[in-house]
Amino acid sequence: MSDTTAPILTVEDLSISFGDTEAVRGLSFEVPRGGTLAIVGESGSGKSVTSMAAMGLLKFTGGRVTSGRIQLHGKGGETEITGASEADLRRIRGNRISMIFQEPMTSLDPVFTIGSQIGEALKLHRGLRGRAARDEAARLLELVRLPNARAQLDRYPHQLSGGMRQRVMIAMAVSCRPDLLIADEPTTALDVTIQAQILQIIRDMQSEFGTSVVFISHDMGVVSEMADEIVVMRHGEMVEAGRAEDVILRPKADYTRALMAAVPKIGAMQGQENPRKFDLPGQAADQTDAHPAPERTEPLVRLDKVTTRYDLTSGFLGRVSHRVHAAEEVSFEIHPGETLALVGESGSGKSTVGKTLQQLVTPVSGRILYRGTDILSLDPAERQRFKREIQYIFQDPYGSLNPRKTVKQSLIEPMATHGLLKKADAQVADLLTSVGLKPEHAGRYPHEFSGGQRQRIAIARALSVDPGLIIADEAVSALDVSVQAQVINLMMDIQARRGLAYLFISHDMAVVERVSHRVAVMYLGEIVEMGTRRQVFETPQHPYTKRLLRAVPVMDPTRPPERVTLTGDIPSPVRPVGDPRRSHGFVEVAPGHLLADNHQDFEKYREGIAS
Amino acid sequence: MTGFKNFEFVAGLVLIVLIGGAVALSGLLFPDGGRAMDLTARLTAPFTGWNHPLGTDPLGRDILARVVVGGRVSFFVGIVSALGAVVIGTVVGLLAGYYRGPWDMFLMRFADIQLALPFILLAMTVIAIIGPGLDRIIVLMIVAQWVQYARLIRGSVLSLRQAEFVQAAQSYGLPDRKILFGHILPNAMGPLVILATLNVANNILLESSLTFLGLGIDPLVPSWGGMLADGRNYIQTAPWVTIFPGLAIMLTVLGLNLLGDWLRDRLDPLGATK
Repeated sequence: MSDTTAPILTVEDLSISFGDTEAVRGLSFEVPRGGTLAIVGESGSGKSVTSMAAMGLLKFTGGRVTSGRIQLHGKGGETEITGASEADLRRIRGNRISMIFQEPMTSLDPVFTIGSQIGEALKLHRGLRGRAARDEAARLLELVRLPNARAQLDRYPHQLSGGMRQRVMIAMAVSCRPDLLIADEPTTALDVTIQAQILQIIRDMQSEFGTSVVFISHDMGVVSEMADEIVVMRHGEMVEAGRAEDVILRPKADYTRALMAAVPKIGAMQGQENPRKFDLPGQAADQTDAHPAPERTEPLVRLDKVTTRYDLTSGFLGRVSHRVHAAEEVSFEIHPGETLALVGESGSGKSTVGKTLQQLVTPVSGRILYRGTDILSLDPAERQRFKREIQYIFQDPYGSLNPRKTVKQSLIEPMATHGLLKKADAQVADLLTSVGLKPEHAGRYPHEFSGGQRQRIAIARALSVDPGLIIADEAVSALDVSVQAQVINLMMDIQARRGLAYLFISHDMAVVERVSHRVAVMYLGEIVEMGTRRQVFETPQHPYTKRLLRAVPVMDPTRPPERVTLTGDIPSPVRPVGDPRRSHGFVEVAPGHLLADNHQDFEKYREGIAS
Repeated sequence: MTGFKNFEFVAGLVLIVLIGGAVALSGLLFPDGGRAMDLTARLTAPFTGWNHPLGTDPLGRDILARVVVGGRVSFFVGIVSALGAVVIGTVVGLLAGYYRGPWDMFLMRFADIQLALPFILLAMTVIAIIGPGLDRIIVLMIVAQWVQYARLIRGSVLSLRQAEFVQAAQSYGLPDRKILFGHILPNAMGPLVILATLNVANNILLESSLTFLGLGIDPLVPSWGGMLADGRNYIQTAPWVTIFPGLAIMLTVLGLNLLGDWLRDRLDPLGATK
């Protein structure tokens, strides 16, 4: 794909400042014509700031270029973006350079139809109006494989799913055949199967129009599938640059090597019975110790046909018209010291199962047994006491701690609630030390910590009441990869030390493969396949499991990305009242490996619901 | 920023302590209650002599004395009615927003209906039935204003109850009372404090409107609002009759706003370190 004649964009010795802080220092790179350059880095590395500078949008974010230049060598001749006037920049933006953002929910204007938003871009840059603009917009939507393209033109953004919105964004971005497309984390907010589709579309656009792409991402797997060349950034500086193959397979810089070690690679655990920690540089040598297997005696928790539905009301009197069938007849067991992973995409009901188990929502039917006691049949005071046994860690380390309480106050509260508070200062110090923080952090407020540290505080809070089970609901998804690996290692250390059980809820197959003893795959509120990690990952049986595993980006630049079949979105779990779906049973394909008995109907059934 | 914040606090505190102190000591300072008339010195201009430093009104009553004594009624009405409304509105808003359900719907429809009623109309009807008086005015204002706070708090609670730190507190079994007052209320306080300080000013003026309409307190008892109303006819010839009570209201509100701003920032650890 890459053509080495001349670069399309050159960045020379670029430095960017926000006030007194330097966000980018002395950055230089070239984007190959028709090829893809990926900028990789963790949060705060300056990768997004660089892309804003390339669009000439820097002054809207409060930053300024302090040295260096950015030059575009496009079909309209040479342009120096760093020195161009605002009028020139307006002509370039959307016309010669266009951008796709991370958040498909907010990057489209909610009060205009899809058609009029694409139409506006076409009018502005290509002078198309009325009928012609509409035809062109429909053609563009067909190009990004949006089903029923013409009908979609009259719909509003909120009527489309995240994946469909991102396709509309791509259609808008390529509407003027730009020389350069900047994609800033375009798939980070999307489910893995949808991500695979979007990456496929970007590749298709590239080969159709010969567009060059700057692809910004923190995800090495995605980068490996997309990039011809890679720039690795850290704290505003370039750490390493080179051909994708070299950077991924033969990284030179220490930081790149550490980053690669922290990336969970799917398939890396083949043949392993138990979970294994990440080998992080600078970590103690007890790595090789095998992670303990769970005690297969009496189950700690047993869910028996738990069904949870949410009512959707409509009309003046708030009559229940539809129900979200979030979890349907979910049954599983977790043993002491075991990690059961619940995987699925958004809307699969995996969080609902966690919240039901934690008694945050009340199921419509089913039983939850904790060491043989049916929690739901207890009286309210007993149930409140039971909340000590199961603790919850949330996804967002910024939201799960009260911003107005110090760390100490946050840690003390659960202990005080359950009468476990003896020597507050010593207990808080112990907890902080056990999650790798310092006792003197106790007096600080949450905003003084980084995301990874906050998640450690959340873990400390969960540990404070000495629970038997911790529910980790996407607990590491919002963290940078290197921090994610550290937090996962910490969680596994704690499990090995205390014999804790985890319900690990995640959409990330590679992380799940690393941490879990057993895996349950959820689709549309039901478990469709469940077994040991090896059974599910090495011999997946259900078509949906296979599809999920195929969609995970593989960090192997030597292997061309697999052609993705573009099927639609995940169907909605919302159903009218009085029209429940028929649940399926299970067949046991191997000892402990359960499979939905209607797996053969899956594709048909999916189509049926989607239509 | 820190310097300015401290200035805000000190300035607000000085204003409120000065005005509040004078008002509290008014019985000692002006034993006649500002009622003594000096008909030989009617409409004396301010700053012309030591007998009447701020001048006199059309009946020859000393403006300084009346401003200080009048503060008793105005301070009391303004602050007590705002506090009462804040307390009732907050509790209702917290419960309605957190538990939702039919009570929430009933209370909020009730609030909508009440917000649609003009205050003066409500006041005239109620006073006509129960008769005028200071305590009744305060009750009336509380009844009229608690809905604003209830709606405001309920709105914040609706989003805060979905916040993960609230769910986290639920998940480790914290009793609802502690979740409401320990986690949700502190995070919902900011706008409440601002609205309350603004309402103190409104209430001082409302009291004057009611007194003007003959629905308020005994017209012989001085109050800032009453003095504003009295001075209306002389605004061209003797503006000081109106200016000084107006200034008193303005400085009180300014002081409360400064303190309110400071309090809001103090309650927010993010703001405190910025």
